[in-house]
Amino acid sequence: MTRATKSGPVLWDLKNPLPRFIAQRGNLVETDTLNTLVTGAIWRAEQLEAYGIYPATQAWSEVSSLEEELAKAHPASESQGRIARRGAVRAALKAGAYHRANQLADNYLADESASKSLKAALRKILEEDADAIKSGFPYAAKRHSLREARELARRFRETGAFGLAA
Amino acid sequence: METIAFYSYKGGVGRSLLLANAARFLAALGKGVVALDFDFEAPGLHYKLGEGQSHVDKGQSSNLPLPSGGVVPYLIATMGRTTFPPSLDEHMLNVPVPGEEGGWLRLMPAGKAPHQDYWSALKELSERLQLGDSSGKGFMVLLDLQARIAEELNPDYLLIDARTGVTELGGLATTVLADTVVCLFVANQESLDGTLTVVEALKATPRLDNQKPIRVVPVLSRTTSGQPEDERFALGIKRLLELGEGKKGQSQNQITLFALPHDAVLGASEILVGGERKASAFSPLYKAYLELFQSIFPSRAENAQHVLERLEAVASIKEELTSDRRRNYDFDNLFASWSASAIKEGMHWKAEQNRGTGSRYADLLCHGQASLPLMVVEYVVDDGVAGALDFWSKSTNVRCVVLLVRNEHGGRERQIFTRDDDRGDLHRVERWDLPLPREFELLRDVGDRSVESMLEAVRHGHIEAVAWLVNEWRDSSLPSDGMHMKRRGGHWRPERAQRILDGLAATEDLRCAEEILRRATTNGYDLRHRERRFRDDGDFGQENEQKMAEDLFAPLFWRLPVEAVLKSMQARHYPGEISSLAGYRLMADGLMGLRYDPDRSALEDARELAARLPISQDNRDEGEVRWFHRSRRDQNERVLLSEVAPPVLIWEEALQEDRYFRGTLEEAKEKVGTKVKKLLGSNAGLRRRLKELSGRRELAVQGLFGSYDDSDRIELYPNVITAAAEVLGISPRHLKSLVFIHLSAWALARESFDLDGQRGYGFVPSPRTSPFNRESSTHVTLVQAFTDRLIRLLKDPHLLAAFEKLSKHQPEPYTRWEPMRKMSLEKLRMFLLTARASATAYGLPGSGDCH
Repeated sequence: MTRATKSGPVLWDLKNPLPRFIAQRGNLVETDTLNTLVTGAIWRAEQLEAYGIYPATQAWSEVSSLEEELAKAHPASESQGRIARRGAVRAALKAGAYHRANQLADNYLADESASKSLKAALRKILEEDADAIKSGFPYAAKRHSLREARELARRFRETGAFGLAA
Repeated sequence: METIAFYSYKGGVGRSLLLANAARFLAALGKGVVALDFDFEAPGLHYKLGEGQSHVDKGQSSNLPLPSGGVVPYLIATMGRTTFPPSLDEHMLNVPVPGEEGGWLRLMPAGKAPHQDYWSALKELSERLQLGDSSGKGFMVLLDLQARIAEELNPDYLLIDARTGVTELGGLATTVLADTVVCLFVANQESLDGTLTVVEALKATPRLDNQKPIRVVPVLSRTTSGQPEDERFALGIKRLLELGEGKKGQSQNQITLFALPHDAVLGASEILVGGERKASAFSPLYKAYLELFQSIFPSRAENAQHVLERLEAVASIKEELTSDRRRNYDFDNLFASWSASAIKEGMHWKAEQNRGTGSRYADLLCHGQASLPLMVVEYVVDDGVAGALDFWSKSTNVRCVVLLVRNEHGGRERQIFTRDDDRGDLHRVERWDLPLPREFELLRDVGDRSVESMLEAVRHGHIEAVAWLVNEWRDSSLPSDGMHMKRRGGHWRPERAQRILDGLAATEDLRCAEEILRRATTNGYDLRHRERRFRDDGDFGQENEQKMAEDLFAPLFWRLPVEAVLKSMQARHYPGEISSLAGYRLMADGLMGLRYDPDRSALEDARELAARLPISQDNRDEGEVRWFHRSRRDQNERVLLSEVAPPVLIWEEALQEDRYFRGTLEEAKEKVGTKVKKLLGSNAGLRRRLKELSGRRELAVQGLFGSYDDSDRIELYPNVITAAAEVLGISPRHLKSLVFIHLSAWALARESFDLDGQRGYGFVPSPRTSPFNRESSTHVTLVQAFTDRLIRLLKDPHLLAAFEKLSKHQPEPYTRWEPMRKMSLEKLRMFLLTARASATAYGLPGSGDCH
């Protein structure tokens, strides 16, 4: 079985060969199937991104969703579960869905079974993303915090232009 | 950097135009300004600042290239970038700014609108730029642009043209980026309600950590006289003023909304006036702009106030220069104002060659013919007067400098400096009114409008000065009519009036002399002129008319050169309009105690003539009228300068040939006519003959210098008079006037009526048929006495000197006026009445000598 990494698809050694099933809209789907799908989705998203094709964000959104399903199938204590959780958050950020990534990270961080290393990894992913945004807007970053910008965006989403929809 | 967003709830309120004007205004003050067009859906700021016309330097700004970049392409590039941020320069335009204060203006248009590429780019941006993006990128990209402008360009002001209505970008520009929001709306309930909603939202929106509370300046735009006055509208305005800033009135509590008046010209053409110092740019809208700028840019309030004051001052001066200041008496546009084409605005004047260095800004430059600069107007603050004066005085040849001086209290003073020639130093003059173009032709120094200066202009043949002098005489000699401004009253200054009168009387130039009489005549114009003259001035007043005729025209009639006087007497329509009436009446009514009434004389003549002719009874009236007019026409030519040989010379010549000659004048003429003509043609011969006559004291007026014959015609012999003047060493013009006065006195003594309506039959002139049948010496003496009285009344020293000198060379009857000087006027008049009744007038002084 292959698993997508930053350097491309590689052979992934399964430590637990037993198949698992998760319920998807009334159907039982084998985790292997999900793994296959997520591998393909990651490859596709990377390709789209490499060619600069705009709908890459949708592809990363798909990846995030598949990783999230995998995370449901594997507890945080398992390495597959840890990988899936990190992958779900990272893919959500790549999809530009900061809000969703933040919600996922909050959920995973609240999980008692999550190891310290997983929590640290999740926090790091979020920080790296913030740093990446800030580095993209160096002038604004000197004067305003990203938190402010996100607060403005939240307010904007909730209350609309001029706050008139509040 | 201060960020100001210009917002309007509805479009078409002049928002972008206000922004463009504000940007130019600030740049002209030496500030750095960046203008951003955030009105992506209807961008147009590049039209206003780029392709739009600048008020003055159309050529400079209208040639700006279409922007290749802009806010939209920049944001796309920023969001999609991987390495370096896009260059700001590629997305901005440099806009030329007025003035030389070192300011700059850079425009970041929305994009290459309305080109197709722009709309494609905008579509892409709208897909990628999500302000609600929870990652904060959407806001970061716009905050980054603002921060980058601040960091890289460091302008003093960032002006944002925010999008109309309730939109994401409009909200961002106003609530997040702006320190101040200028909200424009028009005077209708829809616009007001929408604006009020947005302003309330603006005030309620939390600010970023490092931002001050937002300032909101509501502005009512495109106002006209018909504003809604209902209670709901008023309440809305009141609420807006509670939330935003208004214009402070004179009292602290009086705050009103800023209002921009509707300006059809500026509004339609979108001409920019911001930053302009030229008077022609000034308008009610520009004034409102400047008042608004004082509030929007508090740190520049003083500058805006100064600009406003300067423009108001210069515009007011320009209007004064070009407004029609023609006086009521200026029928020939002699005192016409400056034409607009003769005035240039906003000139940088370089020091003239060999006259210093540097240059100076002149608000107005008035030039004369051939573009010769004559006068400059400059607005200066009080401590700049010395510098301005130094430059204009030492580095230019300009003849007049008008400084509009703003003092430290904000007051304005007009100071006028002139020089008497283009090389002298400028000196301050008392006059307050602005010199007119013709004054530069009339006067050596336009600051010197003294009577003497104007009289000098007249002496130099400047006919235009006559009107001024006559008006000054009128102002100086007529008492004021109190507070009624319409009724033209003057400032009574009799000495000044006398100086003017004497100066005018000394005029040698015949053209000017004629003009003097024309101007001095109150009833000398036809009715059309008269009507126009008094239309705006109220009635000049019959009393004043009479005074002018008596005190100005009449003395001038006798004192000015006879040639001019005779010309002024010609071509009148009816007797009442004869300008000479006042002159004759001065002598007849004022001195002789008679009544000179040419109407009555003419009527009598007409009747007399009609009675002699076979006119049918039916047509009697018509005939009388016809004769009346013919008689008048004849009388208009009753005084003339004649080239014929004087009878005395003919007799003298005839008697020299034949001392027993007893023929008629015609016979004598036939006999010696050729010789006399030859004598008249030879100046030396004529002088010799006149010298002989003067030696024998035979320079009689009657028959030699002139004659008054039984056809009531006065003839003057200028050739003889001129030669005699040379012989006697007096001025020919004064001798001519003396002869004219003497013969006129004789004519009046005969023609005027006394209280009984009788004419002076005793003053029937002697027929020319005999050299021995000369006039009664009594009558000659009386006429001379009245001539003397008139000359003394006129107080003309030249005439008096000439009269006394001439008397020494005249026959005895002409010299007996001396004892009569002490005689009372009443007694003299009594003698006159007696003399009029009889040809011999026995009992009168000198009657024993009568023939």
